[in-house]
Amino acid sequence: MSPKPFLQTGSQTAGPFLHIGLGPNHAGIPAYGGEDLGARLFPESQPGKEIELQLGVQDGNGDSVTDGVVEVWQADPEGRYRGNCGFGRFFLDSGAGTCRMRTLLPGCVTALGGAREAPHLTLWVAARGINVGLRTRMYFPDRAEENSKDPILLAVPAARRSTLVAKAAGEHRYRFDIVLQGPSETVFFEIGSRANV
Amino acid sequence: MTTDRDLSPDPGRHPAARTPGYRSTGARAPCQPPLLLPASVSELSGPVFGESLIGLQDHDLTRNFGTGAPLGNRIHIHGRVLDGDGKGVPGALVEVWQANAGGRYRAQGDKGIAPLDPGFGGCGRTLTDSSGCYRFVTIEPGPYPWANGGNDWRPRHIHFSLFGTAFAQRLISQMYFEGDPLIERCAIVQGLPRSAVGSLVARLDMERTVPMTAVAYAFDIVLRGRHSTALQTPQGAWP
Repeated sequence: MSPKPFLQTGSQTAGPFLHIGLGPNHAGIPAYGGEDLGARLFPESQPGKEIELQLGVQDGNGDSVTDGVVEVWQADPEGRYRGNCGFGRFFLDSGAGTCRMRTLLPGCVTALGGAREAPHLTLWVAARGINVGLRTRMYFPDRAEENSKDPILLAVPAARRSTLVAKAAGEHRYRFDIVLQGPSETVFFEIGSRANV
Repeated sequence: MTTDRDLSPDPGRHPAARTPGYRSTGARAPCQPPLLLPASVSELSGPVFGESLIGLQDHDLTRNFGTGAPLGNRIHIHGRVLDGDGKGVPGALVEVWQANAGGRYRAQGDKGIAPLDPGFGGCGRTLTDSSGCYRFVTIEPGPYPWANGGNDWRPRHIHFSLFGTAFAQRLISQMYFEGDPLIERCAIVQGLPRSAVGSLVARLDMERTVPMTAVAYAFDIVLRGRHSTALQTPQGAWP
C-alpha cells in the first residue's frame, strides 16, 4: 500500500459568536481569571517605541465588519520573534467596527534568505462569512526606504502594494483598514508549497 | 528553523472563500486569489503558550462557569493534534466554544428561542500534552436554526481554534458529531470538498465513555506542516 499523508482538517468559519471563545471576558463572560489571551503584546518592562494602531475591516459593500477578530504576530523592537510575547488578539468593536491596539514598533526581521524585511505586523483575520482565516501583513508609512526593499512587498503587484501600508494618524499613531472585497481589496497571502513558489 | 517545512494548505481539504450556499460569504470573500509566497520567519515562528496560562478547570465546560451543573448530555471529547507527517504537536493551544444543550449561545447577538443555562458559559481551552493529546469535558450542544435565506439548521457542533508551533498553522474549524442528519444539509459544511467532510466529524468512542456518567467522542485534528522528505506512515488519512 502506498503511504498516504495525513490530510489537513478543513477550515470552517469562526461564525458570529467567536468572541465568546476567543475573548470571553471581552464578551462579558467571566473566564480564565479575568484575562483574555492576547490582550497585551509585550510586558510593561519591555523597552521600545510605543505605538497605537487603529484597525478596521470592511466588506464588499463598504460596511464595517463588527463581529470579527484580528490577530497580530510581530517581532520585538530588536527584530526577533520571541515565543512568549508579540502575539495580540483584537475584536472589532461592535459600534465603530474598529479596534485600538497598543504595541511596540517591531524591528526589521532578517528573512531566511538573508534579506532584511521592513518592519511589519503579520495579521490573521477571522469572522462570520470568512471560510478560511485570511493572512496579510501591515507595513509602516514612515519606513518607505525599507519598504522599497522588502522581499514580500516586492512580490506584490505594484498597483496593490499600498493596501498593505498603514496610514499615519498622528504622532506614533497609525490607521490600517483591511478591505475584504472590492476595488481596494487588501492583498491576502497564502503559503505556497516549495513546488509552486 | 528549517526551510524544508511545507506549510501550504492541502488541495481539496478546505472550502473556497466564496461558497454561495453560505450567504455571508457574498460580501466577505475576497475576489482576488491569494498571493502565493514562500514561508518566511513571520510564518514559521509562532507564539508559545506556557502551561501556567491554563487553569485547572479551563478544559471543563461543565464546571468552569456559573453555578450548578449544566443541562444536557455530558460528553468527553478527546483526540490528538497532528501535523501533516502524523506527528503529535505538543503544547498546542486548543480553544473551543459552543452553544448550550438547547442550541443557545451565551452571546449578545444570539436571539435564539432556547433559554440560557445558568450553569453553562460555553468556552474552554487546553494545551496538548507531550504526545499532542487533548481532552475536554462538556455537554452536547444542540442544533439551531439560523438566518441564511432559507430553512437552515446548524448541526450540533463545537467551534475549535488551534495554534501549532508556526503562526502559519493557525486553524479555526468546527467539530460535528457522528450520525447527525443535519451535517449533509448544512450550507457551511457543504462548502467543504465532499471528501474532506469526514475529517470534521467526531467519532463515538465507546471505549472511552465513563460508565453512568459521560459518552466520549474522538476527534483528531491535522494541522498544516509537513517535511517534504519525511517518510509517511500508511495510516491516518481520514476518509
